[in-house]
Formats: sequence, structure tokens, C-alpha cells
Amino acid sequence: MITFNNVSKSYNNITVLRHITFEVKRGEMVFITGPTGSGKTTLLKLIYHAEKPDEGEIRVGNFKVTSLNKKEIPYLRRNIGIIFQDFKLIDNMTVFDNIALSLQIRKAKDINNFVYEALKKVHLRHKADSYPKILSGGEQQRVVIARAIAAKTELILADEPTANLDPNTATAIMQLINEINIQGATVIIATHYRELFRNTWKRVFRLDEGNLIERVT
Amino acid sequence: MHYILKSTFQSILKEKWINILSALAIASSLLIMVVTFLLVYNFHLATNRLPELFSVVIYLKDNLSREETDEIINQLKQRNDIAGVKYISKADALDDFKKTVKTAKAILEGIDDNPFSSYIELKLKREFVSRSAVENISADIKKINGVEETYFAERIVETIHFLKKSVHGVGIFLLAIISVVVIFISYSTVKILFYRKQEEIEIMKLLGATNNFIKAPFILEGGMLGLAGGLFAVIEVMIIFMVIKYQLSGMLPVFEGIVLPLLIFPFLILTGCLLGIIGSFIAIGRLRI
Repeated sequence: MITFNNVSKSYNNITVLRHITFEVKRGEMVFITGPTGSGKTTLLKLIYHAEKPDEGEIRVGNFKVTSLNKKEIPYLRRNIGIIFQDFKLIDNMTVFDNIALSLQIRKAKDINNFVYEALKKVHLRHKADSYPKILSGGEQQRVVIARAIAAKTELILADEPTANLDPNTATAIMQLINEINIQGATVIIATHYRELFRNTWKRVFRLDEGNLIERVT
Repeated sequence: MHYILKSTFQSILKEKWINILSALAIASSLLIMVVTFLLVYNFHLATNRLPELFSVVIYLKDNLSREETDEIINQLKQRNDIAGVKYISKADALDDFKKTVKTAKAILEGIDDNPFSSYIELKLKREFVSRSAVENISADIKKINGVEETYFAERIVETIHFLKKSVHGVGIFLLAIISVVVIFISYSTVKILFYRKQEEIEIMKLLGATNNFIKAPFILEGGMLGLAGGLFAVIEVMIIFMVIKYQLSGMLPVFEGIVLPLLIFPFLILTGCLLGIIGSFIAIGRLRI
């Protein structure tokens, strides 16, 4: 599903990712971990082409990300559900409209059903007409998850999905993401919370000074 | 399409003050455009009647027989540049002089013979009322046997030509300037709205929106601004026309004959809409998405 081949990325002569090579198979769920500033978000951004690598090759499904032209980028992103650390919800749109927008962009049909189905999964059906600003952090995170899963994409990227959430809400969010993976989506979670992957049998990669090291269990 | 319409109307309502002000500014510009158009249009109607008043006078030689005069008239009538021929005999010319000049009696005192020549007054077809055409016609007519002299008011021909040309020129210049002003208003408004929505646009891009998907509501909003400006302008024009026609014309008779073509109303709305779209198109086109 995702292949990184000898990918490097640096900002202002500081190397963030160094010759990274790894593969994530379809339907797999992997964790990318490391301290704040270790390059987790950069790695995710490379996948949805918000950043370009200095060298190396990246493939996502049928897309050769490193050689996409500007016009092809939106079509890559439509195949990815992204759970952003800072939510990236549009404040002047209701919860319903925020989720519907991602479906309208994808030219989906039967948008109402898809939106309500996604909201039901995150237990926020009753908040459809609310605006993001009046929701709690946990609720906003669940809206972002609903937006990411509404289009039923095969790939979900989650950037610090439980940051700033209380432990109970964090557990609920992780259960949701697990369910998405069980239903067949490939999931990559970038997080620095060890609790999220302490007891998991799934693959965990650690970013250490730009190198990606797979945890040996 | 549903998103584009919804997003456009939401934006218009959310930023209602900037949109209302822009629409009013567009309306004011369109009003100036209409006033210019009406001036040009009404002046065109007025100057269009001037060629009908213009005539060439052909003075005939004395002692022409009736047959010779008729022959000249026939030759003139056969020309394709002449709309009308009117013969005035020596006696008629004298009578006209006496009727039109109050002091004619004193002037003619002591003169036994009729000093006037018989003449023919020619009305030219509209398209031949230009200096070069009149000069050519006049030169042709002078060659006819029995014609003494021809006369036409050169300055009138020149003035008609000059006025038409200048008014059209000024009109086109003003219309071009106002079009640029309307485009600029729409351009600035859409650009401001665009900058205010940078975060929203960034999110849409991350969700996979194409440039066209992002740009479409802005283009539509520019069109709506122009449309609203056009509608405001229609109301303004109707009010101003009513005031001129029914209030001012009583005091200033020059306004009595003013004509307002009804086509101006759809023209205003469509022009506003089109210029609004052009303005927003330029604004969005220049910005990197």
C-alpha cells in the first residue's frame, strides 16, 4: 500500500528523515513513534504530498507520489483519510457540513447517508448541526475521525490522534481507529504516547535522529 | 454544484457589509456608465436629425427657359445621392426674402429689377452628408449647363461630423474606464474575501479539492456582486430617469425629449455580472492556490 524507498528530508540543513525505507501492506496498522520534532508529522506529510522529499521514492497505492504533478495531488489526497493533530475543521461550517465537504470534494453521491453513518460511528449523530468551536477537544477529534472515515478510503493517516485528550477519551478514540482498521483500512498512526502501542502486536517504527527503526517484539 | 452555491451564499451573508458596499460601488460605476450611454445615445439621436436639415443650394443662371430648368431638375433627380429637389423661382426667392427680412423694403428701395437668382435646394441622402461627399456632389453639379454656382454650409457639415466623432470617442473612453473600475472593485473584494478564507482553502486542499473546486465559489461570488450592482443600478437609473422626465423637464425643456431605451436594464444586469466575473477571475487567477 505504501512504500518508502531511500527517502530523505531536511529543513535548513537539518536532516529530519535520513534514507528511510519501509513498506506498509494493505490492511495493516502501524505506529510511527518518536519524540516531538522527530519527523513523524513530516513523514505523514510526505505520504499526502504536503511536503516533497529531497531524495528517494514514495508510492501510495497506484500513485508514485514523488513524481506527481500539481494537478494530480488532489486525486492522491482523495484516496487518503487524514486525522490531523490540530483537527483542521472549518469553524463557520457545522459538523455535518465539515464532513459533507470532504465528500463533495470527492464528488460522492448520497452524502447525507455517508455523513450520518460516520457520525453514528463516532457517537456524534446529535452534534450534526453544532459548530466545531462549541465542541470539546475529544468531540472535535471524533468529528475529524468521522470526516476521515466518511469517504471510506483505504488509507487512514492519524497524526497524534489522542494529543491533548483525557485518558478515557483517548482510549475511545483508539478503539475507533482499531475498528476502522479491522474493517479493512490501512492505518498509520504517528504518536509520541507510548501507552497507545505498549501492548500492541502491530508493527511500531521509531524515528531516532532521522533514522526509522522498527521495534522488535 | 450544491457546495459551490451554498458556499457562495454563505460567504455573501457572512461578509454582508463588504459585499453590500462593493455592490453599491459597482452600482454607482454602472450608473455613470448608463449616464454616459444615455448622453451618447440621445446625442446620437439628436445629431441623426441634423443631416435632414442640411441642404445644398444651386444657383441657376439668369434667363434659363422653363425647359432648361426642368432638364436640370431631371438630371438632379436621377442622381442616387439626392433625397429631394425643390425649385425656387426668382419671384419666389424675392417673396421669401420679403417675408423673412423685415427691412427688405428699405433694402430693395431703388432697385427696379429682381436681384435674386432662381435656385434649387437639394436635400442629400443621410450617408452623403460629409464634407468630401458634399464637395464631390457640388463639383459634379457645377458642370451641369445652366448652373451658375453652388453653396453649402461647410461649417455645419464639419460640425456634425466633429460632434458625432467626439461624443462617440468620449463615450467609448468613459465606458472603457468604468468597465475597468467595475472589474477592479470586484477584483479587490474577491481578493479580500480570498485572503480571509486562506485557512479554509488550506483545509480544502488537504482534503483533495482541485483548484477549480476552490475557485468556483469566488468566481460565482464576483458574478453575484456584479449582478447585485447591476440591480441596484437599475433602480437608481429608474429613479433618476423619473426625476428628469417628470420633474426637471418642466424647468429645463431640453430634458423633454430624453429617451431611455428599455434594453439598458438587461444590459446593466448582464454587464455588472460579466464584469464581476472577470474581476474575480483575474483576482483568483493571480493568486497561487
